[in-house]
Amino acid sequence: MKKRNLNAIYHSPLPVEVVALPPLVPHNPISVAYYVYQLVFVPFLWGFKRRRRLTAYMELYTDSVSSYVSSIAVGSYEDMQELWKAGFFGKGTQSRSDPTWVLRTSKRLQEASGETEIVAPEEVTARRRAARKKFKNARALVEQGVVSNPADPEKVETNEERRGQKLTRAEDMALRDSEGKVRQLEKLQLTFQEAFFLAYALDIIDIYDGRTGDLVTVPYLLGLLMPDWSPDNSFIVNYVVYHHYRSHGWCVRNGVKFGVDYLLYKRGPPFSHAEFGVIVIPLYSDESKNQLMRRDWYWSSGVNRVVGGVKKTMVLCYVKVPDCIDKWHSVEELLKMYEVREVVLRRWIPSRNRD
Amino acid sequence: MDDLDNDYDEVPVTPGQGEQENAESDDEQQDWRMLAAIGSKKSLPKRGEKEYEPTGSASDRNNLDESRQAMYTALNGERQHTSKVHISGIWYPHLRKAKVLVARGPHFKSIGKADSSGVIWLLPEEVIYLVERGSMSLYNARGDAKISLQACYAACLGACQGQERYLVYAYLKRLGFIVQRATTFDESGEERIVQKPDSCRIQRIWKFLVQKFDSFCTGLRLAIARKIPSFGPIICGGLWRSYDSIYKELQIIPFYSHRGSDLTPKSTVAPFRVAYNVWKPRPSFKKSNPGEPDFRVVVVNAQKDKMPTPAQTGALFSTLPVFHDSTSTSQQRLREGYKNVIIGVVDYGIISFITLGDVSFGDEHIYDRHAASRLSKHHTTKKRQA
Repeated sequence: MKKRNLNAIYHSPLPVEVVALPPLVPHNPISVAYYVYQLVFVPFLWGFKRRRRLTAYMELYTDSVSSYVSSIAVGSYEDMQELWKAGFFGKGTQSRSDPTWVLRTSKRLQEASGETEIVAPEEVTARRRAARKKFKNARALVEQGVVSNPADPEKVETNEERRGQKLTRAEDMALRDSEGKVRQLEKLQLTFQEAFFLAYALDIIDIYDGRTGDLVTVPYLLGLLMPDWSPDNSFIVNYVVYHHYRSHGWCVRNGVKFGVDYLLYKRGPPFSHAEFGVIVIPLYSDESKNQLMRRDWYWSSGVNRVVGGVKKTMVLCYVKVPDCIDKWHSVEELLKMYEVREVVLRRWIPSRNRD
Repeated sequence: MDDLDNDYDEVPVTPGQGEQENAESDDEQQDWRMLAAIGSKKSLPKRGEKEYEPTGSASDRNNLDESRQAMYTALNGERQHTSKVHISGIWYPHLRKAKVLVARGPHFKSIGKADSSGVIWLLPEEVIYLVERGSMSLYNARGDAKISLQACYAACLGACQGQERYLVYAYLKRLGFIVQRATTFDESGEERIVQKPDSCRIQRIWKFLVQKFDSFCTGLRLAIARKIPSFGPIICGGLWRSYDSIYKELQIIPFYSHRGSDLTPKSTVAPFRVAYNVWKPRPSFKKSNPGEPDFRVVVVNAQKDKMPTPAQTGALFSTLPVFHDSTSTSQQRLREGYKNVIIGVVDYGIISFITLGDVSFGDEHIYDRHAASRLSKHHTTKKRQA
């Protein structure tokens, strides 16, 4: 497989447009003129330019007592691509993470024409696993003494054969629209922290109520996400951590698969594995409460083993929770009432640290 | 013998075996057949593959039986040592120390402390360690009766500040580390002042100025922004010249920083105090001038003590010197910590070591470097094409 130019595809770390100043060559008058143009006129013209805003829909779950947000998702293909490529926000509802369902489905349906060579990450994994399984089966046969020659494994289905079987599905016709294109049935689901970050901090997304179609304003959204307004509300505590790492340049993604709250990627999933697994722990001003909430060493050992097993470092992220969050004039002031402190935890193995 | 059947893989590793361990071996079971192979011409068995699974075959069972038999033979062997390096000492219960009568052998390079008259005194954990490994005979204060290993434990363990501490001490010693009590070993011991007060004052002044400037800016911004709704955004629709400037604007969450933190050591309470200073094995070690220890170890009991709160961790870190110098990369500082300490967690005799590192993600610039590396990469590919 030809390696894609990742830097070109995922060039920006946030879905915000940046216009860099050109390099200035003082003895070249054209360069100076261009620099001045970029410095003075571009910001002026920028004021008239309308920024494209992304659209998300919020689903509310309402019962007799209260209503709460059940999901926030982006539906348009362009918006999904932009959110994924610039900052790796959200998760495709039909995909592992990158919303590739349309790509994969149209590829599967077009397979007969044999023109595409775009490979979705799910497929890369599937191919690798198939190859590894084939190898393991062959090795097991050799070890058991059934087969003496490892170079003679049983005939395994080729990729082409497997794809050929997939081509014949009765319900596939319903996936295409009148023009024969695959319908966009996938959505990009955002975590509440991601949605709030995009709506409040970056201001690039408009969230609409899925049923009424009304625009959900930031104050209304905040009220829905933290209905009890307690200082240690899990949304706000997690948001503080999410915002903290995002603001320091990390790509932050959900870490439930590794038993942690967040994973920190240096640039994003296509570039490298996550380096850190973050666990969020609220910290109170009352030290006796903190003493009561201390976790034991069995817990830390368990998480550390899982996180360490996938070559990540475990980070305990303590969030100092204020006693009262009633008095604030802006969300920024509210967020500034919290404070973050980190401790990393690693297993230490004496025999590996001796020489 | 019977009780050994169940937990033979937990028998502590002796130094002789330790040398043959490779870097990956810590978690794997000992293959005891290597003991039987020593002295014969048979080569040592290779370590199993990572994904090895028992097949239940006869050869598997045979290997297991052979290994078990080799272990029994090894354990049955009589323990011997030469009388040349045999040590004898006298235990003084009221001093909680043992006086060494004849100091011989390599142990004294890192064990014991000589007083002004040149007599070497041993601490209780050093006494148990030496008696247990058969290197020393201990006598009572009158010098007329030899103290048995059981009696030695009974006499000395109480002075070791807990069984857990002795277990960690002995475990690290057996692995070849040089282990000494830290100044904070006892409850009354004082923390050293690690940082110089000068840099501390400069940092305090700097922190003060930054705070003043910050509050001035916030006030100014609040005054100007009366009309702007208080629900954001942080990143307005203006023109941005770089992602770095966007990130700077986004950085509103206060965080604990090494730069502005208070550097005076706080008082720590047991068990979260450094118990032992540990050095990697080195021939040049001098008791009189040991230098900075490689590791600092805190010992806790997994049943009694839970994980420390950040206040306890912070107090512990405040007594430690900075681990990384200015040449370290942000990667190293984040993974290993700006300061770090090892916690020996002892649970019913099983020891697990965990490093706690003091880090601050807010102090490290991550995005900056990407831009630089991307530019340089771009540059090199262009060069290659040209």
